[in-house]
Amino acid sequence: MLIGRLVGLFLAILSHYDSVARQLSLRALEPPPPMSTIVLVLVGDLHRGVIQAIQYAQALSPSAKAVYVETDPERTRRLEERWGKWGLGIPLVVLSSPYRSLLGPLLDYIDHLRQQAPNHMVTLVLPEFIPARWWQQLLHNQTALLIKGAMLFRRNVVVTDVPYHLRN
Amino acid sequence: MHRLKRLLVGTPLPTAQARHERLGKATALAVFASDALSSVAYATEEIVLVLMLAGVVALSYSLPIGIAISLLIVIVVSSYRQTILAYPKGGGAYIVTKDNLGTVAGLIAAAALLIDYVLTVAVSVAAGIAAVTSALPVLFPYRVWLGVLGVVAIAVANLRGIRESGKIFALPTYLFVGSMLLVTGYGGVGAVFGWIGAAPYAPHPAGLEGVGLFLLLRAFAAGCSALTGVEAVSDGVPAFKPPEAHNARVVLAWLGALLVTLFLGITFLAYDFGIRPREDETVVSQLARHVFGTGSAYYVIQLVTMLILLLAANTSFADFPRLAFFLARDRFIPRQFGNQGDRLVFSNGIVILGGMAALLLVIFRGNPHALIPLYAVGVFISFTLSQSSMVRHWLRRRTEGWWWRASVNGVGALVTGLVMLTIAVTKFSHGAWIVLLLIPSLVALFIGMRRHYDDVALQLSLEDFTPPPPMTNTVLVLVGDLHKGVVRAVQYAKTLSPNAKAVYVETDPERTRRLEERWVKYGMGTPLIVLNSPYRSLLGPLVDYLNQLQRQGGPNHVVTIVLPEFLPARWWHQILHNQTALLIKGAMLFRKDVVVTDVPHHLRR
Repeated sequence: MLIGRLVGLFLAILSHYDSVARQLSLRALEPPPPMSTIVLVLVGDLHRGVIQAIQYAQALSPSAKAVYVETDPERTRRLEERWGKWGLGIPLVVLSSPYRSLLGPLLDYIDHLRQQAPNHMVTLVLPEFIPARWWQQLLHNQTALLIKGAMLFRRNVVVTDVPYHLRN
Repeated sequence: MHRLKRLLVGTPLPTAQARHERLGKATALAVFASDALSSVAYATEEIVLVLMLAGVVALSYSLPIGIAISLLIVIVVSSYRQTILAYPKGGGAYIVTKDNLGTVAGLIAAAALLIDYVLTVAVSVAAGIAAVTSALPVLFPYRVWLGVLGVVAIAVANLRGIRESGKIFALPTYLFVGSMLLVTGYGGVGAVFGWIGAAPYAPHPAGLEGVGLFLLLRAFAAGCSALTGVEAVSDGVPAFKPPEAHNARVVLAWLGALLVTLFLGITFLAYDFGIRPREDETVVSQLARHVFGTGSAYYVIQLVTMLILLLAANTSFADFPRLAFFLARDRFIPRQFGNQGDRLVFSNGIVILGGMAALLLVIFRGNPHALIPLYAVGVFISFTLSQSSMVRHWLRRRTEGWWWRASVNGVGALVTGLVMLTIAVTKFSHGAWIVLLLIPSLVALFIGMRRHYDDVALQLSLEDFTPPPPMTNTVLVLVGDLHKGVVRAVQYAKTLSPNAKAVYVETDPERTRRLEERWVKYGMGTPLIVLNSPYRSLLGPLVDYLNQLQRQGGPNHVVTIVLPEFLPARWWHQILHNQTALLIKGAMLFRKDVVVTDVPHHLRR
């Protein structure tokens, strides 16, 4: 009985590999349409890690934009005040979030950009600080993880972490 | 998962919908008293259980002990009436203590309170289920799971965001107060005129201990569970209709009077009728059955008792997340406790509280008598700290009548401190040690977390920070083969930088030769760099190459590694493929100035 089962499994695995190979094959590949990318930096606050991520986004594209999801207008006002000094000249897009969700407005905005330019890739740059010890990670919001999970099944969106390493 | 959440919790609420209900005195009594008043459902029984260790003769001591506890209630209520005057914005023990006695004392109070809230849920639900199983003994074997179910139901209701809405609280609380007044009133009159006699004699094992001072103190300590929840009014002053402080003080006085009446009445009658504690039926249930007989009145009383106990558990679901929010705001616990969820409630605090209370119910087999020794010690620690803080407050301010007010709080602090010591000593081996051990550990944890957050803030601060020169970027695509996913990744890399390069780690010269042949056709003009790997390792040659690039890179230079990754349609298909991407991301996580970017290629099947 076991032998029968194993043979069945082998065949299923083989058929999966074949299917993947067919889907990835370059045979009959049309020359792909030209691609360009829109670069966004997700900003929740302003600190050294964010500045590094902004600089990275600027290195990727001269037209990079920063995106901020607003939960409290008062905090937005303070961020905008400081943006003049620390924003390194890139525009700040504020998305309002009446339900306090970070993902909802962000996904809407990205979908909106993709509709406007279907051949564009959207690169979402996430500033992420990496604590010196792994368990310290538990003390911080897992925003980056949440966003990567949500974007995993969206075509034409690339999520890029820019790590800022903390000392102990 | 998502649909289950929507079904249980409901659709998200907009921030603008947050609102605050102001409570009149009668509703406020119902909202804030459920926790304190519900404890009369088990406090008498706790005293009697300890006294029974010395046999039936010792039961006569339940009266003086009951009177002593009533005096204690009067003292604590008077003390908290002073707190309301001084903290009209709400004087929880954490805030009051931190204000007056410093951070460490405040954290001790906070730790004691957090433990307390968990125990309030566990004890109240366990006692509520005991009220039900007293009336319906067939449910007795399922009490643990009934309790867990109760906790889950309350937690879900709170995640949906039932506010401390007066209507929900008023009915069960007043029904409970009414029915207990009826039991003690009717029973008392019946006892005086002799138309209700003693309960039928139940055989009992002889006492194992003599009546000593230690036993009496232990019984007293057990009965102090009657005081739990008294502080709720002073925590919630802002919820009252104006004049807030005045109304809150009136309500607290009513609460004290009701608590003393019900507690003394039940204790006195239980003794007079000769009611003995039993494992499968509570003392209050026996009392109600004895006074009214096993009829509809009795069943209504049991139902109402369960409801008020569940409401008492529910108050912790408002208090715990609120205290957690304050602690998170002051950066003593993970900041996630400060996040408001979809329904404008502090979801994380609710989930943690429910989980811990359910865990306690399972560990202690849903037995309220096993949980109560842990309970009172934390309550009295926070009483003592908050009363001592008030003494300090009056001595500092010296406002009108400060001498009198400081004395009232001084007596409160002294008495609650002594009671705290009594409980800690007499209940130490019965479970109080767990709490006494847990509190310092929690305080140490709080301080550790604060230190971490401060350190992070310092390292990320923009003060005296000058941004480095503009960043330069070298883009590499890691290639292992040539397929659609790789073509896409190369294309993407070229949008990031016109100078992007492809990198291939060679393990077999024959494969390299074939790749190079095809690269001419599909490589889109991107240069292909072949790294030699004599030991077949992928990482080693790659790291060497990165080192070389970074040495040449100049200031503020970053290397971006683009990884082509195909995503199978089913997650478990993933295990059939090499986990190269994961390996590389892991290796690069702690490397400075390297950014790893996945370019996903989605497969359909």
